[in-house]
Amino acid sequence: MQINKTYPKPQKRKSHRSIIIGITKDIFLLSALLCAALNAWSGGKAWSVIVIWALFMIWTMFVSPDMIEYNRISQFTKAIVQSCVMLVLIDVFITSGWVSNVVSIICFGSLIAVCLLLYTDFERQRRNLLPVILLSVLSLITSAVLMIISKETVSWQIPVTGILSFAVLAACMKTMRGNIKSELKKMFHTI
Amino acid sequence: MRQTKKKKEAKQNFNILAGSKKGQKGKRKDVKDPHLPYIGLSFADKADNQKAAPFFDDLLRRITLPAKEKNALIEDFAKALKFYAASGLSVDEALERLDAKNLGGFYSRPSNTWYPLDNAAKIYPFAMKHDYMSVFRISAYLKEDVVPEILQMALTFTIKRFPSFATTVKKGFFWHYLDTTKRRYIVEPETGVPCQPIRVGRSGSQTFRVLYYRNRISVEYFHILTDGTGGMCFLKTLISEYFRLLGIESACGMGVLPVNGLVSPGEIANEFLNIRSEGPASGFVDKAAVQYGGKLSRIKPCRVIHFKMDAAALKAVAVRKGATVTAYILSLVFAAGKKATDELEGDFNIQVPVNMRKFYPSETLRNFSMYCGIRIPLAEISEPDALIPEIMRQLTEKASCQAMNEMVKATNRIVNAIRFIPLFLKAPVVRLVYGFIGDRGFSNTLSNLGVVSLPPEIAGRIDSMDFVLGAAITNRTSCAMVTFGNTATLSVSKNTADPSFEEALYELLCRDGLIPVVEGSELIAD
Repeated sequence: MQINKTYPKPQKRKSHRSIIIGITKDIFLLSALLCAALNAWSGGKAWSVIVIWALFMIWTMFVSPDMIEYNRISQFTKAIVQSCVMLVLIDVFITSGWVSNVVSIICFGSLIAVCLLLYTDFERQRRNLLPVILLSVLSLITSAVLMIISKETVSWQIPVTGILSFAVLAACMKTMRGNIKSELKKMFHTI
Repeated sequence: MRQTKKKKEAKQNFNILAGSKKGQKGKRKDVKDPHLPYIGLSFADKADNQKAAPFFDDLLRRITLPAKEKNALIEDFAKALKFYAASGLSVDEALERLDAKNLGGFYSRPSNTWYPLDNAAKIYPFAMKHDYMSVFRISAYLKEDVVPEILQMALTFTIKRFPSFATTVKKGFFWHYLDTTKRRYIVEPETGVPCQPIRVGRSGSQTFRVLYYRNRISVEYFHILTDGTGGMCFLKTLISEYFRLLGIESACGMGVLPVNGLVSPGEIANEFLNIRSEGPASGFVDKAAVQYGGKLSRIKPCRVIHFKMDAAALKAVAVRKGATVTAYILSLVFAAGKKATDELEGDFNIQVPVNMRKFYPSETLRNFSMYCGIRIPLAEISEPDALIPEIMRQLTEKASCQAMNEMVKATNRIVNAIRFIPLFLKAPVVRLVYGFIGDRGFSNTLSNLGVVSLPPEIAGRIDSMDFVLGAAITNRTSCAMVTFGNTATLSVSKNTADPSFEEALYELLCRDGLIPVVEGSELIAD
């Protein structure tokens, strides 16, 4: 059977991501299992939870990043949310008592940063409002919960983060202007 | 010699100095928009200059894209004008063909529309991997080489008629959706392997690609956008517009849409929602099927092979054997498959997509097809002719309206059951389930688009067409078929270097007197 070539000679493939994923997948899984086993065997604090979460972060941020919505706002908010979860895990499993203040400072800073990312390339980034809204809502809820459950020990950054979250949400609504209903329907549709 | 002279004349008459130093020195003061590249039009006849100036003024008014996109779009017009000039076309005629009215309001209005995914498309974003994406491709082979400048303009004018194609995949809180993206949609020269994953992650990414190579125009679609019927409609309309720009007018109809016509709501409808969800639901998951042998290639597909044969002869052979063309080809695929595996037990199960428009007439350009599996135990596979009655029986039963309804109902129920689960929770679960099931229930696929017709004015300028399915996950081959004119093209996408399947298929076709012309791509070795 003679095959006449009717396609151009394929150029050498530039991306090697699938090979990297193939190789590192097993290494990551093995490392996670080893950590958990070692931690269970040696006893003490559950440090393996933090290591496993760190491995997950590295995996989703660098080894196998998102294939849909891979833009600067979504990646930044994802990194922030995952870092905050990491801090909460450290607080819960290793050393406690500081996480609410640190996380609220991170949220405070990241809300400002995300606004900068949005408004410095507004034409393109206005299509990526959902991560900004979700980050703001998450910050607002977290601040409100912290202020309710630990109002005695709450420090200035928590209410400030709450106010800032509300302000960012208001800015997003203003950005969507007349299309608020349609934009929200788009982001939260269930059909 | 004659051509060189013609080009020289054209250059004198129709000198487009886009971005050239000469141009920049010339009339830069006159440029109103500092972002625009300098486009100097210099005709021998001053009247021609006067004609061209309002054309570009009109063009500028109709494009409100970001500066970079706007410049590129205007350069496309300039390149097309340059081509017309080199072809000796009059300025009036050139400007008429490229009339800015053809842009409609697409490039001037902001993009506020969006489309929820149809029920068949909802799985595709979850099933994506970095080296796997559900992509298919339809190509048309013209009788002359493609003119890229004109193809680009054809796409620029055509895309507005297909609003659900002018979109980017985005994440919502519960589901993915298609967000309208106003941008310059590009045509590209074909350089790589067919049906490679399309990068859809960046803001405003295209979810399809238009490629050209010699006399071939191909469109590769992410399946999230459309199915074979919708994809064929887009390609036909694109080709019709391409020929209009080359001066060959044709009537609309036969799947060619008027590019300046209004979009009907039916064209973007999710027709799965209109099928009532009572009654039994089944046919979604099947037991594992035997896979062909051969090591899976890293790059999928690693080769594409087309068997081009005489359509009338193929039909005659099928009729002689008491089968439809699909059933006849299926019998060959089953028999050829047996030579491509070392397994002795188990079943071959071949997936056959079914166009739901057969049962529910619809003008939708979104996905509206389901599938059935034709299953035969390996032990019963010997001569292809002996398989035909069983294949015909299974096709009648499993591709019936009732069976398809049951599958649609199963799909709708699953979609409904998980609709309120946030995407970040459902994505890992769906991925995990899909990872287990994948395409293991099937050994191969045969998708037959049937006979394609085009208006006679353009049909005579096209040699043949082909339809290629992209990579599967574990299946070693996928087959697709389309007939245009008197050429039926059976395309095989390979995921393994093992040539047993296609060699056996070729032998079987030859044995029935259908000596196919075999074309294809190079094998990509791992």
